[in-house]
Amino acid sequence: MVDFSSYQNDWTPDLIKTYYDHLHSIAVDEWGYKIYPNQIEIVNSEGMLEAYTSHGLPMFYPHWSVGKSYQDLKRTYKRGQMGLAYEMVLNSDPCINYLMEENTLTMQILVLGHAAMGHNHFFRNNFMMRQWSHADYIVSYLKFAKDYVEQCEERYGFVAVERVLDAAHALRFYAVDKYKTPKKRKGYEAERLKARIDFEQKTYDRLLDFGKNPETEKSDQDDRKIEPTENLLYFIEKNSPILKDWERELVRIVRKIWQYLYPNINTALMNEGFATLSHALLIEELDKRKLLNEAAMLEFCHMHSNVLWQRDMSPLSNPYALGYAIYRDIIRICTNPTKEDGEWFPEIAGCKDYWKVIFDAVVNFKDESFVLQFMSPKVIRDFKMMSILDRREDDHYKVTAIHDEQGYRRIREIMSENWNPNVNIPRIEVQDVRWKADRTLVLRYHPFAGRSLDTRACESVLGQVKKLWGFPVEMVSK
Amino acid sequence: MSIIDRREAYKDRSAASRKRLLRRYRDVIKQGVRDSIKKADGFSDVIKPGEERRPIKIERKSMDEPEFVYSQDRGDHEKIISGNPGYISGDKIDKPPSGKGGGSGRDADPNAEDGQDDFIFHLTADEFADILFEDLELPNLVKKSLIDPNSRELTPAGFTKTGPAGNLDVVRSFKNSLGRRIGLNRKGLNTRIADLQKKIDDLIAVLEQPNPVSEERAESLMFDLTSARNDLEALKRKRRAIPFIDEIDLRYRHNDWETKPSSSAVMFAVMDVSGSMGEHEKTLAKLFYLMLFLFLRRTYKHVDVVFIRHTTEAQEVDEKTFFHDTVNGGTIVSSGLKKVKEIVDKRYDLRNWNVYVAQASDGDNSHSDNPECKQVMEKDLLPLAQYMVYIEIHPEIHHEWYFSKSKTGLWTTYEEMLPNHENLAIREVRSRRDIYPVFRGLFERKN
Repeated sequence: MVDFSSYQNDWTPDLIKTYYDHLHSIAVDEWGYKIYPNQIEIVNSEGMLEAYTSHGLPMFYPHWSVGKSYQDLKRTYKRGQMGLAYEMVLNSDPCINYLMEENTLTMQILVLGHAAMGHNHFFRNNFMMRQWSHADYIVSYLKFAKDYVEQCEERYGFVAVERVLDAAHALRFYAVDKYKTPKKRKGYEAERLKARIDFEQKTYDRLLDFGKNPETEKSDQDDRKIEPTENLLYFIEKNSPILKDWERELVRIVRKIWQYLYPNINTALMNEGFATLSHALLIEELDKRKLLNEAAMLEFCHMHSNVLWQRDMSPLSNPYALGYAIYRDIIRICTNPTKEDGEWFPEIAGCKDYWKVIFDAVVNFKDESFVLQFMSPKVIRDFKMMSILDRREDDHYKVTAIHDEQGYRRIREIMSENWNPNVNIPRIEVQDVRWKADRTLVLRYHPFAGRSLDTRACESVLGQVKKLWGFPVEMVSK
Repeated sequence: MSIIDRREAYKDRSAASRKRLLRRYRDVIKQGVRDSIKKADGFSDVIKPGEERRPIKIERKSMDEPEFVYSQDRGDHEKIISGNPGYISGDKIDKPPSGKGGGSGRDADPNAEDGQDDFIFHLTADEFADILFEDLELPNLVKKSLIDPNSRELTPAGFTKTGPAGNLDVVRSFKNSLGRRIGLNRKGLNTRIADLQKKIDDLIAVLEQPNPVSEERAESLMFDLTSARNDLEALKRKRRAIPFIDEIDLRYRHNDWETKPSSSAVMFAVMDVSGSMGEHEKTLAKLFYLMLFLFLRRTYKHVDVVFIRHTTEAQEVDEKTFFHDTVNGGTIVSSGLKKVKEIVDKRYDLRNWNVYVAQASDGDNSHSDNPECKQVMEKDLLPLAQYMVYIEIHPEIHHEWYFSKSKTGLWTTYEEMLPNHENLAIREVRSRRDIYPVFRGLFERKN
């Protein structure tokens, strides 16, 4: 039995287990969190840096951009311009949490509350996470991907593989059909691959395959109708005239991994806000039950405020700060509403059961809908929010709304837009393929708010896409 | 919930990616490496093994990972910011003169860089040497790697049960004793004996007190006393029988002879610091020594450097003096060469050391000394050196002017020895640009 009166700040596995059990019994047994089983991995700061550079994934196929990120991050970290995340957690079943060995015991408790409870629950329950990120086999898929890339490098050379990967990376945000649900796949990947490689070996030169007439094969495609699709990587994977089988598989790997990461950019606000809320409420509860002493609480307050007020982010692009504020406000609206709350949130004002409201939000919303639904006038006033219109052709900014009665709705709308990746990432679709002519791939950009595409960047990307397509690639916009 | 220690597992996970980065930017990095050699100031600048030291700059542009982004000059970007200092709706705020816009909200790409800094990449000392000396190798001469019975040393080799008293490892012996005592239940015996003794004393005290106790009580107390006394006897016997420390517990440190193959090189840097060697000449010599040192370090685990400077006389000096102090005088090259032999004889047993000599001069030797040099070389140095390099440094003069290429006396002398001595090489150097190619020329891998 741990003697809590003599709180020590060096963690031991036993102390971690003890506090984890407390957190678990509060969050899961009392409050109703539903989580995947947790797996805690202790890493040092090197390990944490490495986790960062591979997007938090425990392994990643080797690529020069990872080497580059690692260098950049390491340098930034060494200069003191950035603090390492104290935690990193993976959406997987079991949920893998990375804890830094240098953390104090208080930090570890905070991290467990934040990641092992908060993030975990979010991963397991949010609709976007469930739809796009297959927690059950992500880890084995990553292993497969890494092995496959290395095999290809051995067989076909570094340069050939890099060429395909670089090109596919350029389209990494176009790896998803936003309006279709992906089918659930099982882990047959390795066998499928082996079969594919064997087939590739046997049918080395298609033209010499007397079984099929290459001409008739191609003409089938000419009449195919192109449905507009935003999943550019998928389209190329299936339809590229020149990619070899192994190259297609590489494209598919990039697509699958970025599909897995897709929910993250749509739910950053909600996810971090919820995790921050979790750690704050849990620590408050531990304190109420006298499981922490003043020194720990002091440290916690310091850490918590660091998380909320990060040096290089304005408070409104900091998902922790804004997310936390919104959730806290939901609790207030449910338990202690004002007249204004009654007008703005008639269904939940005063309903007392704030956990129900919060869990419901976690399941059914994503960032842009979350803001639209739950960001209250009080939060807007607290941050003294204002919306500013930057029309690039003008030489001044225009204030379009402030934190007053006339401005609340507009501010909410614009904030929702600010957190919507569908707005921040240019919308590009496959428009057409001129099969019968020169097989040009035609992409279409749908302008938003009068914005145009950066030409130089566009040309670079199209250049990369051409490597995958083999024929001209064009961009049109209306 | 399970806890797993991954502190070792994730080390160097990104090593594979780093290799690919190196491969992709090979040419730029190579150039960067050569540039930094040119700028090196001395040995200590370059020699810090195990640490990442050499920064190479690669332009951001070439590391571009393109993606579709909005253009910065057209369109509406509306954004929420906090901390309104007092504006109202409809107010206009001037844009800063550079015309930098507010951006389109949250940056969707976590990998976007600001494009301001160049990408700075640090090579480890080993990577640095690898790139510098790509395709080079030491000349294929017989290297000294004898396994000679005299080149042996004592190394720790475990523990034995017998040995001299001075090698007794007390901690281990006590550990064994503890284990034995625990196994035989001897541990804590003293405490138990003390407790029993106290119990007996208490019983006696009760029995001997003036107020008599009842008969039955007295009888049961006597019974307890007797059994306690018997137990105490038994424990004391046990204590006598099982020693606290026994011979079988003892452990002694053991050392063994291990033969050591020779893996050491010593490099003699011989520099002519006479009046005719100016700053330019000395700098070039310095660079050359630096490269040779780095190169040797790749092959040999341990490299010693001996600095010898000479005018008419030779002295061994330390690195700082070698590179920075100025001396003036005439030139007697053989003094330097003799000094080398002297130091080798005194400190470097040839069975264990591979000797390399790098000599730099402007060739302006006293005429009468040249035959003496030849003598010393043929008789003393060339037989004992693995490889000897002489570089002659000439002033940097435009070629149109310098048409009378007359060889110096020293050069001619050395040239004569070339056919008979495979381990001698001579080269001419005029400028910084020559150093690296000359070096490569000396050690090019011959296929």
